[in-house]
Amino acid sequence: MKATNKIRRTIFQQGLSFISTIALALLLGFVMLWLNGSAPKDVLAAAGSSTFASPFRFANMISRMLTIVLVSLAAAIPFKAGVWNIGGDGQLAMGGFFSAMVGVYVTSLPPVLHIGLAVLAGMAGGALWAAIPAYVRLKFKANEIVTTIMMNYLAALVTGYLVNYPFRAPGSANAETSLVQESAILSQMVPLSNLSTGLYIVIATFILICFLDWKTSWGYEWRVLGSNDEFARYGGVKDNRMRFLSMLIGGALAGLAGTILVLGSYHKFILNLGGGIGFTGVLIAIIAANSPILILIVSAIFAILSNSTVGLEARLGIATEFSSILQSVIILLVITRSNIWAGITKLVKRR
Amino acid sequence: MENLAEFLRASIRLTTPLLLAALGGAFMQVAGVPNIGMEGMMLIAALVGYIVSFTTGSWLMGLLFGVLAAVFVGLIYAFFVLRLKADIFAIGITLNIFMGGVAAYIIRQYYDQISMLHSPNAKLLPTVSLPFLAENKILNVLFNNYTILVPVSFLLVLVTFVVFYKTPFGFWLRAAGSNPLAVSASGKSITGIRFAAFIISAALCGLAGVHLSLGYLGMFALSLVAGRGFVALAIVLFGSGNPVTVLIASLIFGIADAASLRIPTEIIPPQFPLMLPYIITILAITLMSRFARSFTSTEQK
Repeated sequence: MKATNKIRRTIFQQGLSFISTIALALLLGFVMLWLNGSAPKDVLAAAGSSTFASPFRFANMISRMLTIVLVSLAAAIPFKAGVWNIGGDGQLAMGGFFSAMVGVYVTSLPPVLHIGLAVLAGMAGGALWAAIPAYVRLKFKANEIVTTIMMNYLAALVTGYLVNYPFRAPGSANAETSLVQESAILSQMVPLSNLSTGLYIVIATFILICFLDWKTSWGYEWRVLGSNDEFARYGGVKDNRMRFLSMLIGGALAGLAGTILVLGSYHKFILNLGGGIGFTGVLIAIIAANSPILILIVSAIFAILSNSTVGLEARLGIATEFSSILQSVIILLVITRSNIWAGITKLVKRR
Repeated sequence: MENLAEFLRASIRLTTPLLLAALGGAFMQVAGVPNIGMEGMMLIAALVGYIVSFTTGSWLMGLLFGVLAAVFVGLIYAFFVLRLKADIFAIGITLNIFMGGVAAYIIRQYYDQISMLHSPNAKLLPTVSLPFLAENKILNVLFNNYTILVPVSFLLVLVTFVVFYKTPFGFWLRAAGSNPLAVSASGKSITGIRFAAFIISAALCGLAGVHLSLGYLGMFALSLVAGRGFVALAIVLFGSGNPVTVLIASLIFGIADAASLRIPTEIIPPQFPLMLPYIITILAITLMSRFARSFTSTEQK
């Protein structure tokens, strides 16, 4: 009894310091904007209005959160197993493109089958793009930070070629594919918003990942690999196979994020589909890889942040790019939160 | 012949940013702390250098403040890694994303631009022209009229070599990477040596960034660095930080870069040649990693 109480207390303390550090970072953001001449009262009002003022804005925030959750898991699963996956952006783009191909060119299927097929294609596309750096990492020890980043640039160029030449929508002024068939569209859940029934797919996927993580040997083996690969190998974990698998799953999740953007929001593949969201996923994985629940919390905060800056720009003229600065500050503070709180405690005690 | 000379000239011009960054990466690599933040350091130096150049009208101020900006990022990096003992990979990647955000924010908020920044008032880096080379046409194309950081970058290979292998500082630097325990045992501060490596590395990445905006392109763009920080990391990794290997690898990548810009786009779509540097990076790091010192994200020194 005593031991579990102790563990519970540690988890509680960890969670508390995590949340309060994020709060501290947000406070810092307010101060930065205040010094820049925007009163906190106006900032709060503007930020709140862009997320909570109407149902479709809230739905847009949720839609963004779905993408962020998926790309965060895409980085976090390999991260657990000790492999960096910075390639979420490329995997998302390839996944989105594959699903668009199925959505546009496969015809006369009932919606359930068509959507199912497009989702599978999207996940396969992402997994394929992750398989290349995973293979060269495990077979040749090629540093995956470098290769996954290179794969991002390659994905942008490959899809750029594909939608500019062979698969460009006839007569379109932009580099994009034709619209997907009616039967492949994930229908809109809230009028005017980006939120689609892809929500259910993400919820199901999230539950599946939690299950894998907590209840199966895969989850255990990843954790052991990530924390101590020597020990894992002695314990009989097939380290390379598990790492490869973790990258494939990561790629598939990023591909799914692209798929949902294509089938649910844009209904076609457009260039720069994710807009660099993959890096947000990496940031979140860095601080929250240990727990899918933390990923959910941080994703919600980041989605609200990036949504809020739209309001900040419209009302107070603060560029939306401010949110990416604030996100990085949050990460840096959270990584070093134990130092920060130790420092603060020391200061308080000295007084 | 003249075409070939022109091509080699373009290669040399494109080698310089990679070479400067990779030499910077080498300083940290040999000290046992891989620099993952080169992309961000280059980007911020390119931006600050360009802005300072067109506001003050002096390329020297641009160069100076560009490098200082990168050093500032290096200071943050060093503080988090050396003082707070945070994971060097996590901080490096975060800093890259951070600097991308800062650069995007600055040009949007203060200059109302979305992805590029161009000013007619910007003073670009001067070129070095040697009159005695101008007489021969080929030699003139090959070796004359480069922006100043091009010859400097090649000179810095020599300087780095001497520092690494002929000075006490280089000795301690390499020892901090290969045998940190022995360094502590002999009373030297590992943190101090590595701190110096962070600062030198950041300064060199700063030069690389300033060269891109004020030397190579004559403007700033958010896509200016385009993965060069990671290509430089690849170069450092497979040479294990040896300046001579770094030079050779940088030249190969510079040639690939130049080739990718020269393949006529009437024959094949422009996306394909642009893939070349990235494909070569993946291939090179794959093939060379077999021979290079093992380096994975899990085995950190």
